Amino acid sequence: MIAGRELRSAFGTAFGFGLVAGFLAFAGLLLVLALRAGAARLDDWFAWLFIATGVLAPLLAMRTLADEERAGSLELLLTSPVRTAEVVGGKLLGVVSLFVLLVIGTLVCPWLVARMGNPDAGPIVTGYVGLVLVGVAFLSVGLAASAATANQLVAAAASAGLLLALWFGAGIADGLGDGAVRTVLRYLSPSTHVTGFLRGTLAAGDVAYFVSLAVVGVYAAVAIVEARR
Amino acid sequence: MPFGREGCGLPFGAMSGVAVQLEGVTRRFGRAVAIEDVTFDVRPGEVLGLLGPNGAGKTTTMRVLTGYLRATSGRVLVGDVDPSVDPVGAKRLCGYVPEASALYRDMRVDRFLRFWAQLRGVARDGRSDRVERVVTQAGLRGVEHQLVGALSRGYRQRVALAQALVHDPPVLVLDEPTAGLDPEQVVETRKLIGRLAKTRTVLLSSHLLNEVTQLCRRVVVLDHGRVLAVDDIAALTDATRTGSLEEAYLKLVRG
Repeated sequence: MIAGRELRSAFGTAFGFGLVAGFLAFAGLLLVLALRAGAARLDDWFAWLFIATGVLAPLLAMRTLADEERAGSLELLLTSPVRTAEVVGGKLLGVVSLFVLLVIGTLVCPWLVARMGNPDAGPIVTGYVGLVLVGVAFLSVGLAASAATANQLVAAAASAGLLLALWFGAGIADGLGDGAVRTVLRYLSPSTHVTGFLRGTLAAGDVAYFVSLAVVGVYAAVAIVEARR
Repeated sequence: MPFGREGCGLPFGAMSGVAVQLEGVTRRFGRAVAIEDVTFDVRPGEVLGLLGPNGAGKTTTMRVLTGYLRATSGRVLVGDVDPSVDPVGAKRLCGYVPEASALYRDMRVDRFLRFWAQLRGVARDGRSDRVERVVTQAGLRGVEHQLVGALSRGYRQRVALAQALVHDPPVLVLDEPTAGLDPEQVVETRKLIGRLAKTRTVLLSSHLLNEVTQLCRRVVVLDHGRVLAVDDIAALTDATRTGSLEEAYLKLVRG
């Protein structure tokens, strides 16, 4: 129910609409660039979509709790007979639904590729599974940032900053040579865990990584809201 | 006083509504003490006025009572439900109009009210009736299909009242319900509160002492987070040897 309100309210704003349009246009543009190489494969396309999700998710999630807090309506939500976890869960479900709609919108890209060539179906399926997992995990992180501040821009900047740092942490770690720090940074980086999806494999460890990230995000969001009461 | 003390003049217990109790409630924010050792009760069916200068702790008191904030120590009882034990149960008994009426401006009035009805557990088949009922009660007839954000401040305040009523709670907590309204709207809102109070327990905070005199028989005076007095208005003016609530209040707050 909270999710439904979230979804309608996102589509009701020019910003929400712009995000949807922007993401789909970006996916289309990426497709053109990916296909210029001449091969009917989509792994580069997916790789860029994963990174784009790192920017999109914070923007989608930034208003969820921050805006409730700024407007004061959080007070009404939290004085209603629902648990904080239900409020946070509803918010997440709302933005995840929006994200899944967006992902469904991009299905036209592999469909076009399939008409033009003969792409391997496996990596496309795992790519989409990965995209949804990455989306849920990143949106949860965005939700936690949104819980921590009443300012949407601060929320978006904080979560995008954190996600990009995690993402590119692996690359930086490679420059550090061998060692425990490198291992940890590589493990913590989402980029390490999406390569399997791009190759067409679904490894339990990768799935577990994104599910854990999502759980940590939601748990942090609930804890942050609770700590302020 | 056409609508004044009705709902306050009858013997206690003659009306419905449940009692609310605060016992030694303290709330700190870090090292700052917002309210300290606040003890008072709201009797079933009465309108109790919560008075005090800005920063006295009125809003914090109401937020603790409605479960938005936790008490650092002390005990709250809404009816026989302790919010620290059963927060969801206690919240079901309360309707709350926060100080800054925080509404979803992008929603239509009727959808907005349906949303809260659903969230507060009004059964599906009774939801439309409840929304219809509070639309009439709060004087929102004719604007129920408009966007909340498109309404004037007075109407938005009515929407805030309507959302607090939509699950038919026995306890109403109103934080400065007439602040920022024009005189006509103030009179209308007071009339509405007077009508609502007939079947409910109401805790009302206000800066307007004539409003409190009209709506309440008993008041709590808070200052610097502490209770200075809990008494009938008449007893308060007697005790302070003053002629009106205003004089009594000023004498109490100025020490």
